[in-house]
Amino acid sequence: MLYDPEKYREKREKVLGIRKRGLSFSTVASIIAGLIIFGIGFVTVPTAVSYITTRNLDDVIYKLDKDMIWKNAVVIKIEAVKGVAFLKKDKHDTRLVITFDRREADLSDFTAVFSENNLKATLLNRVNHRQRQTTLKEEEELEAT
Amino acid sequence: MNQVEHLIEIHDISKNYESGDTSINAIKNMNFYIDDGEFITIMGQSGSGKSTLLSVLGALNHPSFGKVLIDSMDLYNLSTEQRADFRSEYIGFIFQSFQLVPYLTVIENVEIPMAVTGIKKKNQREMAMDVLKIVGLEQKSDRLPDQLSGGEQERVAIARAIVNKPPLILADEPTGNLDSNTATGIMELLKSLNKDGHTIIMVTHNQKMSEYASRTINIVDGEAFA
Repeated sequence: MLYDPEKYREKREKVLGIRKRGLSFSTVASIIAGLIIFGIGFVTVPTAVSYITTRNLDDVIYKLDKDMIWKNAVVIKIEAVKGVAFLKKDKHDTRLVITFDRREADLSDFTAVFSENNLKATLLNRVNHRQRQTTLKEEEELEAT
Repeated sequence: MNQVEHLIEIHDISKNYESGDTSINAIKNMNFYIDDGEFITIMGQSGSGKSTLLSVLGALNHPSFGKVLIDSMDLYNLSTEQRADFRSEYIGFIFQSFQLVPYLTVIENVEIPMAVTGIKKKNQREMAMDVLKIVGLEQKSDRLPDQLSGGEQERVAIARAIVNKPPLILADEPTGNLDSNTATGIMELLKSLNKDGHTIIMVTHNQKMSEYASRTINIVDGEAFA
């Protein structure tokens, strides 16, 4: 009886690993470990990235005398100061919130711009950017309830 | 490259053992083939190398030189894990001393080879009972090995060897510990398994047992004479 390559094909494929017999323990363990790592990463990575990118930012809030509104020309000049991340006008454009990197900019940079434009601005508050975001979020939740 | 035409091909295999300063050639440049469905006896005197040859064929003993092709696979080119899979899929071993686990029942002994092949427990029990019927021991499936006679223990060993439906059965002196009548019964059983399609390679030094075989390979001082 001559050798028939088809006769023991399934056995041969099993031995050579061509046909897998379901998922091996190591494969299942790897998938579960991967899911756990991905899950932990999904929760922690955005928080970590957010912390890294905002940890050096401060917010300052300025208000002009007599509830004058902030002119766009001034806002553009302050935006151009090195270290300013972004600006926001609130309370009917009477307050200006400047977010800046404390390593690159300081209050004197902003007061210099105000002086150049003959503006008398009052500093209402200086607070860490992350802390202010948390406060704003809490206020929003309180208002919602 | 020549087309493979035989189930087993032995090409120039040698096996040397180092013993102190001397090298022992247990097998010397053997070349032969075995076809699918053959019943082969390997005969030779004690120390001739027949058991060494059987262990080489059984993927248990790496030859010093040469190669062994079984079902077109170069046995000793496989990884260790593949070779273990090869043994569980292809080979049923029958030993002279039965090698049954004394604290397991008959059916549990038969189920042992299936534990490594991923067969479900429920199916294992059915398959084990099927082969116990073939060897005529279905009524004694819950006995312990020492409650059986020598011939019955050998039948359990045979059931264990065939439960995974291996193409190849390797038997090392399977009747060596049995009386003449019981030995004949075992040989008839092996013969019927051969008719069912199992290729059988049996090591024996008993000329009478070789009468059951389709072919005999004689081993003399490590050399094969087919």
